This record gives sequence, structure tokens and C-alpha cells, in this order.
Amino acid sequence: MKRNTHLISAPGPWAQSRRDFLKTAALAGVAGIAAGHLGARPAFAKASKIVWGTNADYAQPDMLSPFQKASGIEVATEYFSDPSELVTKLRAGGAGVHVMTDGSYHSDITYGEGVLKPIDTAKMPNWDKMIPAFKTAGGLAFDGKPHGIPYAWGTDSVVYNFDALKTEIDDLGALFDPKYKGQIAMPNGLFESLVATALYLGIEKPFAMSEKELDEVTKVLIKQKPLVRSYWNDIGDLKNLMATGEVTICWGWKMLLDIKQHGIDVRWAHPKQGELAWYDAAFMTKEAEGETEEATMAFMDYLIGDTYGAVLGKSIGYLTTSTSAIAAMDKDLVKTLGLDDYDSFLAKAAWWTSPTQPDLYQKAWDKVLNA
Amino acid sequence: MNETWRSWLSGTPWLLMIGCFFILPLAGLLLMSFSGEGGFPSLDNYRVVLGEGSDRPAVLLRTIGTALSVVLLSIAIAVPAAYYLAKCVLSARVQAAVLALVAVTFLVGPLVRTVAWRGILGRSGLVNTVLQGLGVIDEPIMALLYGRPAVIVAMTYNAFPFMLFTVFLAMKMIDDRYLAAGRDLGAGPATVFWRIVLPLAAPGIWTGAILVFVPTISTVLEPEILGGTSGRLAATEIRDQFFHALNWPMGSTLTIVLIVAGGVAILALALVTAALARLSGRIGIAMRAGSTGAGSAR
Repeated sequence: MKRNTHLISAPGPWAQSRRDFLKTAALAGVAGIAAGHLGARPAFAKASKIVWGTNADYAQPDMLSPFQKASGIEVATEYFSDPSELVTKLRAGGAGVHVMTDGSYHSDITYGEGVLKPIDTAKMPNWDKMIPAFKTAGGLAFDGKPHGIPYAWGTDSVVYNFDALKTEIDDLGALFDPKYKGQIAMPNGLFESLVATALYLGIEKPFAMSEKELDEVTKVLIKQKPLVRSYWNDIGDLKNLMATGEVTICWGWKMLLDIKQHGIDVRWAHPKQGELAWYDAAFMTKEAEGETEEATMAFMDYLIGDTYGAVLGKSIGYLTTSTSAIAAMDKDLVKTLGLDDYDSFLAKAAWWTSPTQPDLYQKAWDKVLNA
Repeated sequence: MNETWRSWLSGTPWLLMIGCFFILPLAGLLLMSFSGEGGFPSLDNYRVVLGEGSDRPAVLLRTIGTALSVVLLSIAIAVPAAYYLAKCVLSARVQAAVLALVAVTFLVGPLVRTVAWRGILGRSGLVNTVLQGLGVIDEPIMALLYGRPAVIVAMTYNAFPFMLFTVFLAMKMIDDRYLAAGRDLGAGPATVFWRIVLPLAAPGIWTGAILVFVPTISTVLEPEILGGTSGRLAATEIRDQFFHALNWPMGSTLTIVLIVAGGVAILALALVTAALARLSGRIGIAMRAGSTGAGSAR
């Protein structure tokens, strides 16, 4: 699933370079300062250990150590590549996981499996410092009760090679423009092409399209096929397509901008029709009880605090939901990440959720691929 | 215990293995394919796949057509190569070295081998660079990559060793005296190849064809990596149904239909191979067991 890929794919540049070493050293500094800051806060949890079901990107030692030092609570991790894996374990019972990461595209499915429990946001000092749009985003509250704390987010949009196109793009129509025949790449997964096309057509609810709307989208995508060079399967595939010049414009993910380091002038478009926004949130599971529940709440609060949010942006380029974290971040980094003007595109963002009728979406996409 | 029972008993381990690892899973798929919206048993899925207005038959035909193209291309390349290696290269060491080289290059794995074609056929790939360098073309040929031709080329490349090894072995087993006798009777090299070598090597070609055809209809790598927008084949759709749509009954139905269609294609391939062998050698022994023996020619 797409957001799983977001979860399991370490953003490109962060593995092997000298820059990464410096980055890590800087993070250690941030972590040290943060530890002191956290130490001043009264700890409201007694349990000595909690388990977080997440992925390695979000749970690097430098990200967790400030919390662990300040609270004395050990945060163990259980990594997964697909939230469904963890949900299956939680359903069976005895998974030993107290808090899990899930995305806007999947959280309602997880809730439907009965493995989550509501949270009390009044006990989270950092809740009030969250970007307001996230407090009301879909897929966080169920049956009127808050369940999830969104701590990382991003958008998907049109990405283009400015050197090749020689023009700025601010319209989704570019993906359907015969002028770019043979230079376009579209995603082959999670119905993202369907959703992007729905945004282009101005369909109000891209994840809740009727059969008629899906037919309309399908027709447009079939008509678009001769213009498309390839459907990309994962972000590595797309990076390859763009870096080698096989395509010059695509619907892509933020991690695609990594290829800038190879001197390719790829740019992120803010189309007038809007962008597709996603978040990853922490959800408390039913296995968090008593003291563990308190410790879990403390940890979830930490995830939306200034320390974790700053490290998140600096380390892996993901965006925090915390306004105080943004204020604490380096101004250049804030600008690079696009956090200086989040309100303007959040206003137009369509939030990733599970399609209301996944079978119809699958049929529609099959029809496009088989045509 | 009579002879019949004894022979059944001796085959028990084999039958058990086949039953556990092939028939049972297949029976499971078959049963699952009959789970439709209307409950079980139901032909709903088969109606969806094969009914009026469905695009699945076209995907199936595209898949079979692609696989047959790969088989024919493999035969066209492997037969002369194997003939040269088996009958014209006299040193057994050189023969072994060539075969070992082919085998070693395939240790790399299908993913890397497939991705490598992007570097060969791409916009800035080897072919376009050379052609542009020679002044043959001004602009890169974009149609080389991301389309059916690229898929067929890569599939052929990936499956080629299966054909080469089996055809080489079949040709190696042909008694050189048949070839000498043919030449003594006035046959030219082409006639010897067409009338003697090819019919006697037919079992090897046939085995190679099966070994190439079967993995080719079930691969998802080449269509996804090199197929662009036109590359979707049946195996990809089956994968999507099982792992993306989580629609196991539909995935099972598509699998069963692919197995049946593949079986029909293999049968047709057998008939064509046998007909060609008969036509080329005017003999009727090519597809029989032990057809390479001297006594089977007439």
C-alpha cells in the first residue's frame, strides 16, 4: 500500500553520505538540548516500557532518546511493512504493542478491526500546539472520539523537470496535455492515478466517487494512456524514470525531490486544483492498559512536541504537525520543507483516506490497465 | 502382490509429493474460484472474467501471444547457437566453458537482468547512443523501451538458457554418423540440418519450449519494469487481485483460467512442433520417447 511504502522507504539521500554523518551529529545536538527541555516537564507515566509498532524511519535512536532520557520509559519498537500485519496480530491478542503508526489511507480499516482505543487529548499538552487542520482531519476520530495523533505528513502532487519543460506548472491538466506525449509517468498503485484524475476533474470527493464518477475518471485515464510513457511502481522506479530523462513530468511523491542532488532541476507543483495530503498518526491499541496507557499517552504527546517534530524534518524530511516544532526549527529548513506556508496548500489539500468502495476502484483501475 | 500394485506402490512417494504440493493447492484455488457474491458454489467470477464486455480475454490472449512470441524467438536464437556449439565446436572444454558462461551470467538474478534492459533500450541507452553517434538517427527512438517489444526481448533473454541447454543436449546426443551419412548421400549442410538434425532435436526443442513458455506466462517483472502502459499481462493482474485488491476468489479464477489457457497453448505448441518435425524430416518419430535412437528413424 502506498503509505506503507512511505513508511518503509527510507527517503533516498539518507544512507551513505558525509552529509548524513553531519546530519546525525546535528541531531544528536538537538536531542541533547531536547532532553534537558523534557526533563523540566512532570512525568505522568509510571510504566517502564512501551512498544511502538512503526517503521525504522520514525524510530531512530536519536528521535527516541530524548523521550527515554526524560521520562525513563523505554520505547521498544516492532517494525512492520504493512499495518495489516500488525492489526492481524492485535486481533489475535498478545501482540504486546501499545501504540501503532497508521495512515489516513488505512486507519478506518484498523478501527473497524476493533484493536484501537480512544485517547484523551486533554491530557496531551502538545495537542493545542498542533496545526489546526490536523485536529479535524479524517481518519482520526471514530464514533465521535479522538483515537489518533497525526505526527508526520506530506503531500503528493505534480513533479516536473524544469530544465526539460522550461515552464512552471500549476495545473494538473499538464498530466493530460498532448504537448507532453511520451514524457508523462503516472502511479500504478493504490488507485492514486484515479484520485489524481478526480482532482483534475474537480470531483469533490476523490475517495468516495460514485460509479458514474469512476467511469468518467476511467475514460480520461484511458484517453491519457497514449501520452503516458510508463506507470511507476515505487518511488525508486519513479526516481529512475525522472533521473534518466525517460519522463519529464509525473504525479509523484516528495521523496522524488531527492534527485535534485544529481543536478536535476525537479520542481514540486502546487496545482490550482489542489494536492493530495497524507499523514501518519499514532494510535493507542487496546493492549495499552493501566500504567502502560499513561506511558503511551506521554509518548504520543512527545510525538507531536517540538523535539520530535524538529528531528523528523531535519532527519528524514517529513513534515511535523506541531507549530511549536516549526517555530523551533531552522528557518532555512522550514522554507525548504514548505512549512512556512502550510496553510495555503492545506486549504486545498484532499486527504488520503480509504476508498469507500475499493472494489469499484480496483475494477476501474483494472479497466485502465487492461485497455 | 501383483505387478500392478507393486508399480503403484513404488510410485507412492512421487504421487504423495504431487498430491501435496500440486494437486491440493490447485484444488484449493479451484474451490476458491467458485466463491462469488452469490455464495458458494457460484460461477459469478467466471462470468465476470469470461462474460460479455470483459477485458480479461484480451489480456489472456495478449499473455499467451507474448509467451508464444518468446518461445519462437528463443527457438530462433537457440537452435542455430546450440547446433554450432554441439556440432561445429569440436572441443568439449570450449562447449563447457560457453555453457558455464551462460549459466554464470544468469546468477545475477532476473530483476537486475531485466532492469539492465533500461540501460540498453532507454532514451540515453546503449542502442540510441550508438545509433545517434553513428548518425543513423537524430532523435532517440523512444519506442524501444516501455512497450511490448521491450517486454518480449527481455523475457526471451531471461528464458533463453532453458532453451539453449535443452536443445544443446538434444543435438549433442545426435549421432554424428547420421550427419556424415546424409552428406555422403549428397545432402548439403542446410538439408542435413533441416532433414536430420532438426527432427532428431525436436524433443529437446519441445522441452525447451515448455520450460520457456511456463515461466513466461507467469512472470510479472518484465511487463512491470519494461512494459510501460501496454505491458499488463495476466500474471500481473493475478498478483494485483491477491495482494492489492485482496480478492482471492477473483485471483483464483484468473489463475485457473490462465492454467487452462496455458494448457491449450502448450497442446497447440506440441502439435505445431510435431508437425514441423514431421514436415522437416518426413518422419513420424520426433515426439516419441527415445526418438533420438538409431532404430527410431525410418
